[in-house]
Amino acid sequence: MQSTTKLLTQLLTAVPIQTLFRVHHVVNTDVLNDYKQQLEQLGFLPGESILVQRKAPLSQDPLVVRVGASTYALRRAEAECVVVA
Amino acid sequence: MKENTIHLHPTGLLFALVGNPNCGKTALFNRLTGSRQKVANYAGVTVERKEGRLETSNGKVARILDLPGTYSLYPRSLDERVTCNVLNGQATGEKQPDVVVCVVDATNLRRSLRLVLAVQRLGLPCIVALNMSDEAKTRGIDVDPTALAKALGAPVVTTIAVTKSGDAHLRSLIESIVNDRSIVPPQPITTGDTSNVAQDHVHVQQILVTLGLDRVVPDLKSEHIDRVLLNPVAGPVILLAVLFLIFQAMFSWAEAPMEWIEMGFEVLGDAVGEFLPDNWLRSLLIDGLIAGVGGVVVFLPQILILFFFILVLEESGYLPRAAYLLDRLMGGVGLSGRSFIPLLSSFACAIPGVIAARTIPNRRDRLVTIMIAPLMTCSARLPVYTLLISAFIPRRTFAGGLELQGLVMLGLYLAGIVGALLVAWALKALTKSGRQARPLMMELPTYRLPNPLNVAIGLWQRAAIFIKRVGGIILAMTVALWFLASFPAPPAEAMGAPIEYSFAGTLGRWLAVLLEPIGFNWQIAIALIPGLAAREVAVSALGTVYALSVVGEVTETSLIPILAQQWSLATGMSMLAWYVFAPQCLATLATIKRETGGWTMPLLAAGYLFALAYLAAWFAYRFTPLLF
Repeated sequence: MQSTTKLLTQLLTAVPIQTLFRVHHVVNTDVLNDYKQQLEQLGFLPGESILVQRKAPLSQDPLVVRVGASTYALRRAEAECVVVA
Repeated sequence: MKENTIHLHPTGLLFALVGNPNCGKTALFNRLTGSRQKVANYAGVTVERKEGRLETSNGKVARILDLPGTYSLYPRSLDERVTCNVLNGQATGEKQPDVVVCVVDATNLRRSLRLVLAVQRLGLPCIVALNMSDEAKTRGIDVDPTALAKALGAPVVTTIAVTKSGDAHLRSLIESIVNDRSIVPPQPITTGDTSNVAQDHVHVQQILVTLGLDRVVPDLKSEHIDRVLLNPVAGPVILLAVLFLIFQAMFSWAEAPMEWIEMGFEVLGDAVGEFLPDNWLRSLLIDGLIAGVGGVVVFLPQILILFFFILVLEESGYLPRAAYLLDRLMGGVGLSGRSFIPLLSSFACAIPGVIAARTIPNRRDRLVTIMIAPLMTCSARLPVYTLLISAFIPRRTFAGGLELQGLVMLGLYLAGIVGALLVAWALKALTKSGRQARPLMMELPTYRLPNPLNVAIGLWQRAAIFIKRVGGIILAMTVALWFLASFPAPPAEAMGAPIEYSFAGTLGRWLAVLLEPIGFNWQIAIALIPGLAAREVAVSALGTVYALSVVGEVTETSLIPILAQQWSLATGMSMLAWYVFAPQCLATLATIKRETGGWTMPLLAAGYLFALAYLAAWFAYRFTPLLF
């Protein structure tokens, strides 16, 4: 069961734009900044609908992400904390 | 304990407005209390608690508290801490609120309701204002207030803060609570972990399912606009075009009104001159007040044009998009996108910019932002820039209607921005903490049409602030300078202008030794000292100094031709360069001291800014003659 879940989940930075996903979970990649807690407070919570609207050219940083009913600009390092399915 | 404090406060029940950033708390506060606090369409406009009073129809008073927006009760930045401290009853000089008004963005129920649940757990009586209910309805989100009230166990009223009497339901609910507190009983206090986001998320999900609102809500209108404005090619071009338009307009639209004001003061000066005998009072009125203060008032039209554009952009929701477009640049010099809005406020005045830096959670980022905020071109520099540009830059129009003077002005603004980026970059390279990653996580709000009334009120407030400065500090400094520049009177056998023998003249000549390498004469040296109080004072001071320097017949009354005649181009350019960097504003330094809690930061800021100013002015003075 766990292995199939793992196969289906992707990092938010890896998914194609304008495609609807659901937030699977949020991980903390940066202990100093505690992105996980900040992202959860903004609404990056399990089951929430999520869509990458656009990415900046070349570097793909920052990204515009629609989650639930809000739109946020996220830097790549922040988007990498979000695992979607 | 809560019950006791109520009886100690005779001034009425305390209602606190709490909600997510940019959900309309301040707009609602203004409606309820008749206040005129600043509102705009981005997160983090309110950074301090503000109090107002609401009088009920039967003459009782409720105190309304406007608080900075927050996403949770786990404060990350100083402004969010203000809200949490008030709610926990830990704020100095303020009791715990009697009733919390949870302002809920009806277009974003999920995020708003999580905060409501967290507030309810604090045990405070709670009512819910379902704001932007009109906008939600047009987007197909029809919230049933009765069902929501049942689900939350708290009274719910709909509000439309941006329309007149859109606060009617909330106002009458507050009135009934003032008359009978038992309508909203205190909630049971939940002890233990008060930050269970995941659990609240599940709870909110259940509520939304019950209300039939559990579905994806796209914001199609904003998405369509973003497709153009955030386009990799068109986006930056439009941003640059908007900035261009602003600076062109500042010169071309302001031309006529500036001439009217100038003419008005000339007529006034002539009238006073004919009416009064040639004595000290006449000199004070004409050389001091009319030449000095009049020289500054002339710039009111330009300041209002600049603010018109800033206000429209603030209301539209475009500013966070501009921050998105510029984020690579900001990240490259070690700044977070969060620094953008404080820096942008600094274009009005560095003081609100320095205060707005409270919204930056990271301490190091906050300090860097505070240090570079004075480099953003504030509106007080505008009179100085315009004066020098009008005197030294020829009026020339290029193909496509671009004016040289507007371009130079844009260049000066860009010089400040580039200077700030270089300083931030140097701090990044020199400090270890500078190399850490910076968070952005910035909300891009829904686009809204600017409200003409809000823009008009904002402009009116700006004009009032400016006139108050003119009538206050600028007037006081001008009179003080006139005194120093007129006394002591010259000896009988004196040949030069009387000012050369005065206190100011002597002091100016001493200072001029120090400023001679950057091309400043003693008149500029004199003007710089009162200019420390406020930048525009330098203009009024030059007006007074030159009015008093005239020997014999008066040839020119306006400062612009006098400067063009008496200064070299190199001196003009040198002074422009000086004003891009110089910390000629004691109020800003005082604010930095207050916000950072010590003398280190203001002294560092003053030191490095004066050093940069001297360096830039020296280069401008030495290299201008080589170029022209």
